[in-house]
Amino acid sequence: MNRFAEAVEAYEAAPDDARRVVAWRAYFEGASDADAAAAVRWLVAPWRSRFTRGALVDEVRDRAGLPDWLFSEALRGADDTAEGLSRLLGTASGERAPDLADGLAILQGGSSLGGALHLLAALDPSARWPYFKRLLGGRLGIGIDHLAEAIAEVRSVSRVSVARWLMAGSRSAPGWSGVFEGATDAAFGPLPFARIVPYSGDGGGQVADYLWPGRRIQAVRDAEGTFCWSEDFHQVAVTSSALMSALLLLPPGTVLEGVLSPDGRDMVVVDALFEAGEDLRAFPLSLRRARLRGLVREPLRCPDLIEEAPGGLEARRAHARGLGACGLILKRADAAYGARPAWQTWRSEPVTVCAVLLYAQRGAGRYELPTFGVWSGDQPTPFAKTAQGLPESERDLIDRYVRNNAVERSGPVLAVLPEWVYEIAVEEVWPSTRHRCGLKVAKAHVVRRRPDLNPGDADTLATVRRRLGLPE
Amino acid sequence: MADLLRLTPDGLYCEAGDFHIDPWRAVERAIVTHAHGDHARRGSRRYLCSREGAGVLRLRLGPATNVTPVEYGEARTLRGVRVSLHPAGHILGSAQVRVEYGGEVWVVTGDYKTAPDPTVRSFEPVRCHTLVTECTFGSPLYRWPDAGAEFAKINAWWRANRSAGRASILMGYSLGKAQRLLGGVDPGIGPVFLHDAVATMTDAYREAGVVLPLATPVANAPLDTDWTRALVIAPPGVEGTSWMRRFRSFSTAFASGWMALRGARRRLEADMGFVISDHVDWPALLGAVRESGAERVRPTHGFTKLVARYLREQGLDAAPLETPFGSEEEGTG
Repeated sequence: MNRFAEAVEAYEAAPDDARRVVAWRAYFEGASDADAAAAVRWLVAPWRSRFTRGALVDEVRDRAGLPDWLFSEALRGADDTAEGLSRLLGTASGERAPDLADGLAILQGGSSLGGALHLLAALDPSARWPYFKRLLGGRLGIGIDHLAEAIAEVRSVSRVSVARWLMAGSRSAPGWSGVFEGATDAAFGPLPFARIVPYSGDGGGQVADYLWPGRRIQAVRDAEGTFCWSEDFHQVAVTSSALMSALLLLPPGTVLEGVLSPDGRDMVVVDALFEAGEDLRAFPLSLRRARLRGLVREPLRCPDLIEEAPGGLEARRAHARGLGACGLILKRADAAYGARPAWQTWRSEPVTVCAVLLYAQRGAGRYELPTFGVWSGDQPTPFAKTAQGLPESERDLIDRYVRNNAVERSGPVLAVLPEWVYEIAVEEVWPSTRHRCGLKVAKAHVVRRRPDLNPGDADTLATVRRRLGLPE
Repeated sequence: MADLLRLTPDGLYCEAGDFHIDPWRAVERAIVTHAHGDHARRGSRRYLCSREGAGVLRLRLGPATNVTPVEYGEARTLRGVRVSLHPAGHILGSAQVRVEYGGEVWVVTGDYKTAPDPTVRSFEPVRCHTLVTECTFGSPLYRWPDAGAEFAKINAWWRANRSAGRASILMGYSLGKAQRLLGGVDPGIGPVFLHDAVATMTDAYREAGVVLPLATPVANAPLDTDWTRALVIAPPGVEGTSWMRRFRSFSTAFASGWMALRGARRRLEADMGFVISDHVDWPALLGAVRESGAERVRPTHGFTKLVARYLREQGLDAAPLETPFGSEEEGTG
């Protein structure tokens, strides 16, 4: 159990993808089959803790032997409850910690809260964190792609089939041997994505779809379930159960292309590559779209192809922002999937926003990744974080400015008072509850600094939303 | 009766003996527990410190500083007040200050640790009526792992970097922590190099008779040095500077008690955090209070209120002694 915790720790500490994979490879190379299977199942399978936060805290409080006020105060001083409980449970009890498989069986199985804590007390304080974290209902934040790559390397099988197996594991919890079965099983693709290039002025085709913000994915329905894959062959999580149900209603052997919103709750489907095992890719787009219509149901959205005279597409592009899209993808109605000419993105003109410099994050030796904000009432609200478009000289200028005028430091970030105004071009944006301004800005670049403007001249959140065609 | 030691704007002051302990302003006579910047400040007329610590104190404050070295345990009488220094186990020459006047004994711990550390003289408990103790890590959250196990982790990290062809940059405060790191790592893994600030302090350690493995100052390393096998001990703050460029591919780590908490490790700009502290953790702090036999405790520098309240509940007369030692910017943890 200590080794598994070390792997979680090494994974978190790893500065790049390669070393994240190495952390798990090291674990799986040294793990017994039973432990490896238990580890994978625990990492990927949904699992609900039987204990409430209150019960866990009380139990640790009883064992810590500290006055109540001291326990509570110390717990507040930790960064999260799992960390606090791990440390306040005291040094390792000296009993031998069980193997991971046995330990997880105790934590997940029928044992009492006392039994679970007796087990955790046998671990080093630093090794308790992942177990407390999950007992408290938290997530460890281990990427399936990293896990899949590590297992694929240890077991010499393909990454895609391992990833598929891991996703299947989230329902059927197979044993470790499932990796091999998954590898031999002729798993249903993701298939090569059709190429998309930027609009070059001609040859784009006569029909179009709106360019929706989000991640381009293929939804692959096979005998076991539906899996969404991004263009770089990472599996993408669908977080809405209604959406997942609609995807599961697809007949096995179906592959659709679509765009999944960043929160994983909304999907627009635009193409059908396979339907119930039948390859549709050689059919013209108009026919594929007709077949697609027959396949999907709410809440999946399948908009009509936009058919317009060339001038009409221009007008549609200009109005795309008002619909929450960020441009058009030009296609040919008579072309097979992936055929030339490639699809072309014809982005709407970027929306220009005047924003104030709020923070800069340290990059390669200088503070060069700025965050810009817009006004929400009299408060500046972080809006976009980008250094795109800034020439070297401007980056140096920002570096010097924030070093000399920092009012607050938070790790690698320096904050300054909202004084410098910049013009930012925003291409892609979507609503988000994670960002304080309510918007996630996905593609933005800095046009220029505006020394001629006062901070008060920067835009407000309301005007920005209006310009992006979003409700205020 | 007035307290033998009390806080003034200049620092902790003994009126009867007319001296200050670790004053933060220039005073007539300063008794210095150790040479870290938040305890030893420039400008006072006369300094008194342990003989072992005199070398590093002069390095820090300048060669012209008027320093009187005394042996551990050797008593001096200042205007009738008996003063002696006792090992604190924090860094080279670190001392607790024992102050006795009219039958009353106070001990000021300075920074200290009770855990074993081969590069310093071990902490010696001193009986007293009133103990002024630091409590940088005075919360039950802090319980240090075994230093041997942490050094094993450092060695493993170094080996992994070596096989991946990366230099290992291990950061710790240049006085004390760096030498403890040098003394604790396995020099068989590869060559050890020192940042110049670290090298200067390491020389002072060697002059004081501390045996440390061979290490080369980075400045003396030939241009074609193969850094991929090397461990480089450097002060925190070198990350992201041009000094780092020579190593091309490297992994960074930070050694400090603060690294015990996950959040601190995550906020860190280095790749790894190792829990090597030169302060007492919660159990060691309570142990030191117990062994001093003090009835009155004045926690300072850190979790003062929490420690004071806990000790009060244990039946001691305890109240925080607030000092502006607070700044942890120099990373002495």
